[in-house]
Amino acid sequence: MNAPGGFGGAPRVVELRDIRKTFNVYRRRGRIRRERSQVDAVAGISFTIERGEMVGYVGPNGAGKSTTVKMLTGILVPSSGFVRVLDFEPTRQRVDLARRIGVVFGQRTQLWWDLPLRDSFELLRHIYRIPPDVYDRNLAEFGEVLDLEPFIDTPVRQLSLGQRMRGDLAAALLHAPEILFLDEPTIGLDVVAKARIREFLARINQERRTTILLTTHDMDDIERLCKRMLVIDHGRVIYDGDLATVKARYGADSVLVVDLEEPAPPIEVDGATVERVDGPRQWLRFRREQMSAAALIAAVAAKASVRDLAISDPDIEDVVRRIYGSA
Amino acid sequence: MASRAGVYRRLAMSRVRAHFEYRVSFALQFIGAFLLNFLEFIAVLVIFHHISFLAGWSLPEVAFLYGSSAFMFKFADMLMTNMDRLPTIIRMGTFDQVLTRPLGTLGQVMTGDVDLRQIGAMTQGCLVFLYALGHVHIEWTPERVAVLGSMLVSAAAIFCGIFVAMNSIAFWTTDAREVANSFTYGGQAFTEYPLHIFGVWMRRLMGYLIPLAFVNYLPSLYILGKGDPTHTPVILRFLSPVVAVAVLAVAGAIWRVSVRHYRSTGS
Repeated sequence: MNAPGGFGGAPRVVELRDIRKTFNVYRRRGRIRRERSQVDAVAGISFTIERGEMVGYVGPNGAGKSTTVKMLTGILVPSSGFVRVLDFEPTRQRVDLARRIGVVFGQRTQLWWDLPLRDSFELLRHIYRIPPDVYDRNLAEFGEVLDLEPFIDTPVRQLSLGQRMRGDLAAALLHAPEILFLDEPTIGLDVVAKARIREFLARINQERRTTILLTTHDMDDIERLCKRMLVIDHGRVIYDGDLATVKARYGADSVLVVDLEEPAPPIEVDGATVERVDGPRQWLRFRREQMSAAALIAAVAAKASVRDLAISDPDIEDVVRRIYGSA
Repeated sequence: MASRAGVYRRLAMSRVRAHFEYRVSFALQFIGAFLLNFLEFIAVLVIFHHISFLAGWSLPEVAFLYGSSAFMFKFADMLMTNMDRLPTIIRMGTFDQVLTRPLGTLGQVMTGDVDLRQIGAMTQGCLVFLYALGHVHIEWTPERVAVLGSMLVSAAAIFCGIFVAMNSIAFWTTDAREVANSFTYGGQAFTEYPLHIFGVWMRRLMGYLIPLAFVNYLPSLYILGKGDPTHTPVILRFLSPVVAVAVLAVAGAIWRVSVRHYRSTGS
């Protein structure tokens, strides 16, 4: 790996080697007897993240994403394996590590429900012992970029989900952490709120070189933010690489949808396969690097009269589905 | 260290202010806590309405035990308001938040809520204790005053330790509350009466294994100048502060081991 010469510290900020987390699960058998079985939530994961990277961590529910993040942030003790975050062993050096990382869980707030946002920030200033100049500068910047001013004096419980998430992001970054861990930061948000949060994360990553690890279900998050993607399933990493490569490798198929003047048998064109026929409408799957869209359209038009058409390019969700399928 | 104490004080104050947001509810619950606890003491009075001595102890002497126990237990209970809620905090996964902040876990849980309504309950124990002090016969010496002071502080510390140790069970099993309560609230009821009215196994388990005898019974023997029907060494009457420190150390160790056992929740 080519290290991008770290800014004040080792370029490698996260290192996991063969990390496992096993949970005991008890199942009732009869009235009293319980049967114990072991489930590997994370079954031997290894990866490293370098300073300044923005990594998307993707996987279906129960794949082990959150468990991994919790082991990196010192919440869960790994069953076995080697973890270092900023050279700290997360659970043993939890307090030292906590000062230098930020954590946001989309599903639950880190703020105080009954306090105005401003008071929560003030408490965090003391908890993290943030120097006054850093605090003032960060609060001013985040306040402006995330537009916190309209609701900074409102108790957190009265905020909308989008406002709360903006508050949570600011709260997690006030102490200028070197790494930001985000677990589903855009979950449940509307399009506008999502866009705003993505814009903010991109800015933090570029301007401050804050390393970001982002777990998400939302492939748009990954597509818009992350160069690198880690895909996990059943507790194992099944893909680790950049987004462009993964698209080329797993799912470069585009689809041409044509509406014919009248229903016809599947159109045969070299380099394309008819995937579906529904009355006068047909779906043709093709690869752009083998055949241009224009050539395909011409070939189809030569065989049948076309009334309307549309082309859809593969999105990252297709790609991930294919990775799961091939794993 | 000083600045860390400052942070905890700030966290605690933010909780106190939050409770004061609802003033009427605060006042009603304050009065409620007082009355509820006062009814408990009525039960003791009822016993003494029928008998004038309980295993050789007069009403003011039992009130001395009852009052010191209730007073210090409610004080510990107030410091540990949020500890009662630990099973819920763990089950809901909100303990994650505690672990992501650069502060000790125990301090954060303790300052996660401070319920001043418990002062209502404390007042009742305090009044009973003052009544007892006014009615028992004590030959006051500097030594007795010192033992009285150390008894109260040690009692609060032992109760706090038991709260921490017993609620740590919540990290291991989801059905922790009943077990924890039987030793915390049950333990307090145990210290309301002279130890020697209980059977030998109960005394060994609750009095010495869980060292509730040191909360008030043993030092009270010295302060009130009572004989000990269970014939324990006299030195034990002065060991409450040592036992209290030991209880806190063991409780802290149990807490630390238990936190490492935290499983969090899905997502």
